[in-house]
Amino acid sequence: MRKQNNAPAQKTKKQYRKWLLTVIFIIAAANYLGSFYFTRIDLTSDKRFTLAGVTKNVLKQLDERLVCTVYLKGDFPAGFKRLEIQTREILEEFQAYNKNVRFIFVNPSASGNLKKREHFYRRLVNIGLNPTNLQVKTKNGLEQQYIPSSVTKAEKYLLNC
Amino acid sequence: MWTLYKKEILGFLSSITGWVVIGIFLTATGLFLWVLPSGLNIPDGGYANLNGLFSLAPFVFLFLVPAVTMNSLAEEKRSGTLELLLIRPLSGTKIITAKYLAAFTLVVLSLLPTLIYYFSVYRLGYPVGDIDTGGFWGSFIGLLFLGAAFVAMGIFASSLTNNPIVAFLTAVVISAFIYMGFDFISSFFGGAALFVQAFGISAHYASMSRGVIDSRDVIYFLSLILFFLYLSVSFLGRRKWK
Repeated sequence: MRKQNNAPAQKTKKQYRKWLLTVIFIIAAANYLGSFYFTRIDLTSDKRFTLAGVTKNVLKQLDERLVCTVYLKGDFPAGFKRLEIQTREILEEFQAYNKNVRFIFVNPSASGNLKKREHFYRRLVNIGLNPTNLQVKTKNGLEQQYIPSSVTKAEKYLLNC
Repeated sequence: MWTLYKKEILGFLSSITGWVVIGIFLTATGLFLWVLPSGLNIPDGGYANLNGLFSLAPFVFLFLVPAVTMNSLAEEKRSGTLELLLIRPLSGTKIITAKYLAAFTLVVLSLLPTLIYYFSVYRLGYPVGDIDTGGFWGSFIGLLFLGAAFVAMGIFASSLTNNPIVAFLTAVVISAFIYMGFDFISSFFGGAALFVQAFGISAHYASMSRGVIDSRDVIYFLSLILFFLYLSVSFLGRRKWK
């Protein structure tokens, strides 16, 4: 009895293995082909993640690696945290169209050492990123006014690519 | 197949499992989104959106989905009822599909009450109704895909063993690794980091959770589900008869 049962089991084991390769192949092929022909549907009501045709064209033509360093990271009040997240999101959106777009978020105030931090700030000033002190007393309401002007007013530096 | 599906659903809902899962999911998300002073707290955050729900839910699912699926095959194997199921004129594929759909239905059921959150934020918005409805549904679809993928991994883990606890732990490890693990190890790969990240769920879930549905992400999730369900079917068919 046992032998009889084992024989077909062995066979199916082989079959499963063969099929597994087929399944993996199909999955790999589908994902590979899918990476060339894709659509992105932006369901947000204000279409804030839809890139303009011009932007898409520029991204298509980009065939060198483009690294953006964004000096916007750290312990921010909610409004700036949001700015950071949305900056990241829009960069990710660029990246979805062209993998050559890379980005790093840097915390300009990361160093606990005051001298080092000052030095870093000065270096940023030298490349044209002027810091402004940020005095946000956060309780909702006040924030709202602050955010639109915050990109240029931030104490934390923002470098656009 | 649908009989088995119905039986599974009724099994979830007539036992404590289903209700505990739904209850814990709602308690956890409810606490973090509305009560506890965390970064995810909606009233404190001041913006009428539910982004917090969509960044929190994957972590809750990471533990709840394996709890749903751990019994599906492992328990049947242990109590010996799997043989009863296998001698029915029902192929392994159908058994797995039925169990998969049943567990997925429970995940959907646990997500449905979060529509109350949507309604609350809708009413709380200033002016009333100032919420990104399209974005919410996009993210919701993303969360459904994520849940579906976790269920497939859970079913797979359950097909490996006849001990539900082992199945639970295996499922958590597999899901956590595929969700976040590739992100962590990607830094070892330098230039190929993005390629490695693309194997993980979080890279694909990120854009979905903001309400942007990309065909590539959909293909990824479907392949993940297909892959793990196929593995479960083959492990089910491969097992030795006692």
